[in-house]
Amino acid sequence: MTTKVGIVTPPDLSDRLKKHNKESLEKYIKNKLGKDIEVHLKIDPIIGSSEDLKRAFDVLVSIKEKESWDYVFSLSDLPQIENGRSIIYEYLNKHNIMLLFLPSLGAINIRKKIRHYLYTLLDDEQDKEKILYAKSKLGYIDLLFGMVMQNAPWKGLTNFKTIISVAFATGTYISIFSMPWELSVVYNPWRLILFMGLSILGMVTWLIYAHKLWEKKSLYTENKYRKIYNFTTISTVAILTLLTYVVVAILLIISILLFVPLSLFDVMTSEENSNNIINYANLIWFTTSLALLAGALGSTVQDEKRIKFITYSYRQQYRYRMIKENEEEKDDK
Amino acid sequence: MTNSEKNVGIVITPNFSDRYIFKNKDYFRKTLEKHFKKSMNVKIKINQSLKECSRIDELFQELKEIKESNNWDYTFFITDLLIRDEEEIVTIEYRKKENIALISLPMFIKLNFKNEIAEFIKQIIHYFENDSKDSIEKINEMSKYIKKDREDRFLLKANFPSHIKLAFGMAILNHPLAVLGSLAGIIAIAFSTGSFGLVFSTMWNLALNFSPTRLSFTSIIAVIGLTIWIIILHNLWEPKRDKKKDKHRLRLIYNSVTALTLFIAMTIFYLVLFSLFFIATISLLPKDFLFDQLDLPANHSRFLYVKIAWFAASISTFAGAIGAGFESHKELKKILFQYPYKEGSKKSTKG
Repeated sequence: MTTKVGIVTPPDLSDRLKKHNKESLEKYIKNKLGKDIEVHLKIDPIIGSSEDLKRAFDVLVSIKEKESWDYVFSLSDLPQIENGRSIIYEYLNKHNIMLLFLPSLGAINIRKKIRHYLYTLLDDEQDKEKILYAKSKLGYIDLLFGMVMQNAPWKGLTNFKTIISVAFATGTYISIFSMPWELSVVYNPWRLILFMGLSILGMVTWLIYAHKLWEKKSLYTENKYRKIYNFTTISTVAILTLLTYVVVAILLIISILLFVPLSLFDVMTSEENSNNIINYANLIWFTTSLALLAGALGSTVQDEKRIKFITYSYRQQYRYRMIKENEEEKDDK
Repeated sequence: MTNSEKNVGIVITPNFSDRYIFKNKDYFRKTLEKHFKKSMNVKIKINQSLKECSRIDELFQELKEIKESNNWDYTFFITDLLIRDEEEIVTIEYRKKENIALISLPMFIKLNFKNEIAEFIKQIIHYFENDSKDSIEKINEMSKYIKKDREDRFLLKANFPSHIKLAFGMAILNHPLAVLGSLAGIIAIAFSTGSFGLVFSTMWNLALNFSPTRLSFTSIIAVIGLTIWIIILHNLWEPKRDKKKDKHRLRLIYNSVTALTLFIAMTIFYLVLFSLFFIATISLLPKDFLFDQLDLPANHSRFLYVKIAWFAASISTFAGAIGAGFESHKELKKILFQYPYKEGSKKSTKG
């Protein structure tokens, strides 16, 4: 007889799960356990709100009964911390329900790990902890990386098009004046690195301020979560800014090659007979930092909602709203 | 055939094409009367619902009803939309039995536009009135791009030049100038950005240093770069969604129309900027002072002024226009997608 396994995920996770297709999971379990299983996917936002875990389990139990599944494997992209340690999963023995906290799995090999825990759930021979904690120190680092990973920062880059435009335009313009040429020549690598760091830091601070991404103390979020939420936000924005920096630098290579003739550059900076490629590279590096600082700082992303989504608390609030709406709908019925 | 008065009805879709047709109503009448030596009554009707006809037979049916209710002798449907039949694109079709003809404008766009349409109408009426088996001259001219499908229906050939011709026609009907009109603010920003640089000596030095070849190169990159950037910034590129071949073909057409329209608009944009900068350079920079600053002999060519304006136009396209990022997103989309997209997306959601 085939065993019915239900996988429940919050709304924004489901896309990724589609890739993680059902058949491959079914096959994997068949190979490993010799069990025939049937995977069902269900999207339920209720799992998204981690602050009251107890309720999540109640909901999962009722879903399980309604769908008449044998096992429930539920994924959450929220962190769960207890006694200063990150939790990998919670397991409800009586009902065969496992709630897996994805961020605790770290940044790499997530798919493999998910499969592994599904296998753990389905293997009846294996003893399962009620709560599986991660190893204390390593677990925390894994958790932080995992959370940044769940945010998929690279996907947000398309939202930075206006910022990239402004930075690129400013950079191009800066690059045709002789003073920046001279400065770029006198700067040593350390100063260039410092300047880059400054401009990225400035940009990250600005973006967090402008889009109100910083989580302040509130009744909704416990302090321990608040800290890691904010860390995740900073890291995600920093990665995005770094990517922006790289894109702007690449674009500036084109415009600087187009507008700054080396011969003139050399005459104006009295750098004749020196290494041209390094001079050019320095100019591009210098200009990119300045472009971010002088141009992009002050401009905002195209779609504010999308950048807000990288903060865990915004997502949570969004889900709270969804739950409320769902409940209201039920009440109406 | 008698020599009595004839009623010629032209049905058009509400769009840019109505402008072309309406204002030339008298011209059409005169041309026809001169040729047929009898009184010709030209009537024009705008019809919204014809846009929705997804099958060509439905279209003819509707036209027939319009024709009968208005008591017209000949009926023409002239549109700037693509007329599609299954996977094919119909450029022109006329049915002698019913005296109805439909013409898809983009394929037949030419500089002398009103003359072109008048000729078309004239020749088709001529064909309707006479029993001659001769084909229509205007259509023969186009044989490079269109092919006969069945009696009196001509389809777009599935080759590259035909698609380019079509896309170009659609781009012209898209009114690149209207795109430009919505960008007046950007021109101002670009101009002010460039003017700022104009009073610094680096810009003069750069302009002096650049050869006309290099300047031309910067212009080309500036215009193409701006076009690509607007497309990326506003997500104007229709991505691949459907594996079906006809959708793929349409997508290609729509995308090239977008790119062409923008490219034409940006070329004009660039020329406007250049002219503005040229005026600015000759009025802002005294010759003696300029040449003195650059250590040039007094008899040096004044072509330098052109070069400075040229350089300023390129740099401000990059620095001003790209940076400004086109605030009027909606306006731009409205103009660009006036017809191709609306039609395309409607059909693709249906199918």
